Amino acid sequence: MKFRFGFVAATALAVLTGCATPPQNPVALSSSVFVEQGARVGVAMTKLPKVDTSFPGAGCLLCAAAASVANSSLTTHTQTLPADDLVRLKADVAAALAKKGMVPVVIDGDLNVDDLPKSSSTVPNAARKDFSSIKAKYQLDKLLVVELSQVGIVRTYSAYIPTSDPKGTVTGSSYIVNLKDNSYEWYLPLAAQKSAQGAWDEAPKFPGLSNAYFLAVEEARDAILLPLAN
Amino acid sequence: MQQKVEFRGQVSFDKAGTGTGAMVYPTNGLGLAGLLVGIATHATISNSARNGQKSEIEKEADKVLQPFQGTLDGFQQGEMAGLALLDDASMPLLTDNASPVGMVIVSAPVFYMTQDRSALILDNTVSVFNAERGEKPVYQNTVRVVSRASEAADLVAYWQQEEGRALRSESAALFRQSVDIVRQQALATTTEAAAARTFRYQEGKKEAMERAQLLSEHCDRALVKNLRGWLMSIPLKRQAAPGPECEAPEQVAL
Repeated sequence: MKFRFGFVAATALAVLTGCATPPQNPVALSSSVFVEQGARVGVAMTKLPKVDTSFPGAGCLLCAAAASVANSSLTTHTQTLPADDLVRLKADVAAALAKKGMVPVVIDGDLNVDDLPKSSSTVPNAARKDFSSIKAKYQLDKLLVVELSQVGIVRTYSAYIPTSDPKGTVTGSSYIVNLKDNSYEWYLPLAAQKSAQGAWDEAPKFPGLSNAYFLAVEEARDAILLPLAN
Repeated sequence: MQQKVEFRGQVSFDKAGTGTGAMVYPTNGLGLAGLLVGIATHATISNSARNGQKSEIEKEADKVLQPFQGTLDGFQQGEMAGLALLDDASMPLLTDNASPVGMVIVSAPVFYMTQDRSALILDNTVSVFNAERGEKPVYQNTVRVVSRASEAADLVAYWQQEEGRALRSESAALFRQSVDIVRQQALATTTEAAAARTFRYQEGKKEAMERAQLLSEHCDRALVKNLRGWLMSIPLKRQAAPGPECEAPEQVAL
């Protein structure tokens, strides 16, 4: 019995620790990153998430269904909002890198980071994934990745009850990997959130919230592009 | 007209909200009915907490006006509109029992001071009536006018000097600009508007943004129409010193 208990406990521990990957700490962008003029820097984006609503905190199935129904017209509208300003981020990042004397290599299509093998590197700020296949394919020195996880409108809940007004949101991260040792030379967590000015509940077009969404998009673009311009 | 001019501190609710959190609803042995009572109670408490938080944020934002309370307490709407329209015989200020002719503008201005105290923002909700044709407005909109930031080193002293002269004259100037915009736009024939884009402008010493369509641009100011249809006159970042045609002061003479 003792052995069996130990096995169950160990399994539970493995599952729990597996779920609890610590978030990557930010890594400041140092000017030394762009010292090597003419370096080939890949510019990639992961698949842009669908512009949509999300209701964190509405955890149970019934809570999620209730939140979805209560915000259905907002969701319908949110799904019509364009993400063009995020789509052109790759080109804008490439232009900023070229101004720094880098040779930007825009990687067409979506980069699927999850498909890459896990990194075994032990250097400080080691990237969690092994980007050596990208290095070999495009002959790169560095890789800049924009990885957005949520784009649209967010409204927090506690079970069935909203705990905030909806807000425009763009979350994710942007980072530069030095492909010589697979380490982060820059890691920027993104969490742009903007509230509507004045009333938000203006169905069917939700102009105040739509504006908040566009401002969150612009704030996220600034967060990525301004450090590259300095 | 004897009402005080409404002033508030500029407020942002970007960080508002009471966060997520799990909730276990006690049913007290009443099954579904108990659950519904639990949810209703939770909703009441949560709404109250959110409203309380918003009031606190607004109260905190209004503190920016504390040094000017003396001036603002004595600043009446009649005085402000009078200062704004003093030199224009085509726009007489109407008393409550006047019998106007022609077009009448009814206005509800609210002023905001930026948190860095360098600029004022006016939201003027207006309705334009044809005095001879009844009670339905021929034009309604909100006009926002954002002043250019003052460069004064001591902004409290700047706004307060000579019994709040700068505060009163700049408020009047913004009001005048909003009325001029209404007159132009209410009478304008509809033209095809430009595509919406995200505009950047100066709100105090900070950069602000708005998704809008450009209507016109002159002297480092843009007139745009935002997604609500509001008209906004916004100061753009100056690329060069203003030309002589743009050197008109943003304040009216007292």
